[in-house]
Amino acid sequence: MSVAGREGREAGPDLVKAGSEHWIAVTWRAFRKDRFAVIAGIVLLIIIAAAIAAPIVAPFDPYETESSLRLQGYGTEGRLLGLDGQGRDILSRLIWGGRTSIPLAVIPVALAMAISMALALVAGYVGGLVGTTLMRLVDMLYAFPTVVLAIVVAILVGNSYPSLALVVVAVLVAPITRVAYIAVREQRGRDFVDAARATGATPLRLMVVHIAPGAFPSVLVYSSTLIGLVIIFVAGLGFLGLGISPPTPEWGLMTAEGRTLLGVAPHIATVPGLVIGITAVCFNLVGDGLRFALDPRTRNIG
Amino acid sequence: MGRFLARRLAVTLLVLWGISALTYMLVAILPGDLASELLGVWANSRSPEVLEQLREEMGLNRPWYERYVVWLGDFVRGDFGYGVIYRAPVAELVWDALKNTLVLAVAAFVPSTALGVGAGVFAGTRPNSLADRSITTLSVLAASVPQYWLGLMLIALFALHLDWLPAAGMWDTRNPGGLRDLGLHLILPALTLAAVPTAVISRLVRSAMIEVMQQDYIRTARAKGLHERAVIRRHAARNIAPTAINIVTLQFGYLISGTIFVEVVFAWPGLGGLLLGAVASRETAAILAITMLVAATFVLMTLIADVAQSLLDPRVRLE
Repeated sequence: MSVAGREGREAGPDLVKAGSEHWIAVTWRAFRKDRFAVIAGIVLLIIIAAAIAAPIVAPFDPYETESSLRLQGYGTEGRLLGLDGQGRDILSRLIWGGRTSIPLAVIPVALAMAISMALALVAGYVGGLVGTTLMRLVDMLYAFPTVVLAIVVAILVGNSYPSLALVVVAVLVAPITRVAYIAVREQRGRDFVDAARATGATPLRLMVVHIAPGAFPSVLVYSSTLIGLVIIFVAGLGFLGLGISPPTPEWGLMTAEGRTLLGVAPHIATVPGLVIGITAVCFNLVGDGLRFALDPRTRNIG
Repeated sequence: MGRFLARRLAVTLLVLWGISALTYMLVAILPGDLASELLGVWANSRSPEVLEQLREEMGLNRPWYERYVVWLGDFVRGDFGYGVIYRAPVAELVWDALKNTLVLAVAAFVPSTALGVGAGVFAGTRPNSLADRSITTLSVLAASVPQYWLGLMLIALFALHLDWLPAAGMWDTRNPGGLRDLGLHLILPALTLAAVPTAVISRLVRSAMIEVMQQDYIRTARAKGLHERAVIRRHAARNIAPTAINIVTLQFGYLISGTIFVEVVFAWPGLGGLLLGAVASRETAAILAITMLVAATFVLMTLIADVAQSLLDPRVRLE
């Protein structure tokens, strides 16, 4: 499961060559080689750009209803993806929906990563009573059934954007901390950490300079796989009626609205779900590409 | 090991106690309560004194921590309370739902474990081959499909369009019963539920396998002239077995708590639907029982995963 670097391995020719330039350039050159990741990245950029530019890009008002065109399918005149049960333009609602679904996944993941890394370093390095107590609290949160947590917290804090983000962070901190903790402990046991300690490195330096960089790739890879899942999860809350409330365009909510019309107009549920899936796939592919580009062992620079 | 287990079990109980207290508190501070749910909106607005009286009778007027202590006392003695809205003991309600959820979870878990581990090992031993790329791509796709959407699509295709399989429920409405009936109703939800764990397992097993295949002892095994299949079976597979068991056990824990979307989409009479209903009607006893059950399963799975990994892999020390 770990992608942490192995010790005792001398730099290959690629690393010697890479050493002369900035690591971002090296990562980018490696990332560029992964065609899937690049394509996924471009698709994501398009989706994000469309969401940002929604007022300009969206062909129709997402709330405007055209009752004569209710339930019309794909390719109805000027309505690329058809209309929903209330006669609203699905494409426009999807474009506007990106403004809800994407930030609600990305921001909480980044927040949770920062919190988790700090928790794991303290728990994994300091250990002892502090570490045990911390990890037990994390275990408690981790064992807290995700759905129960989400349902109860969602009802409790309401369904505004910040409170939904809070729900997601609450759900994410425990699993990410667990992964980070395992990675930190694995790093802590390595010879180079002992060596650094023997040379008199302070605990803080050991944690930040020697352990964190080795543990971080596992956390980053794990978290990058989570963004896709969180997109699905946030939309899932919408699907269950616990997310952003109607009539705000949101992908999960749109899928749910199509559910009762599945027999009559299957496109209403199909299209938003497809967008959720495509966005999640793209995040996962970009995450994979990043992982390979960041890991010197798999990095292929030609 | 004995000391570790004793301590870990004690910690497990502590974790569960913490969860119960937290859940009770959260549910208690939710707007609305069981009494107002029982009387309905009309009665609430018309006769607040009746609502007050009912609250008094049900003990809902006391602060939540007092009610929690009473609940905890009953709970540890095996009395899980009574589901007022459902008119049945909570133990009975949860047990019935649990059986259904377990049927669905196992039906999804067994094939996804076999397929996931198999595909992961296969892909991991030939990284970057066409087979590996196909498996990786498929698993990325499968992991990225929203369960609720996959379920809807399967219903639209196999139930509504082709009319091959039932769209919802666990049994036929007219003449329920029999394995065939259950099996037919199981196919679509089990398929929906299996997609994500299969993908996750194969992905994690694959990367564990790739990591192992780069180890020095694999090179040694090859250098001494061992056949590649023997290298994989005797050296690589054995070394990822602890990791694989850890991964798979944890996935089962996730599966139990993750059935809710599938249950909602397919109207499967399991814990998910019961939980949503219980939260909606503020049935504290039922919410707590389900939360504790799911959390306990999860904690135990984590414990089993850790213990199994350390038993099989001496490098992993339990402290």
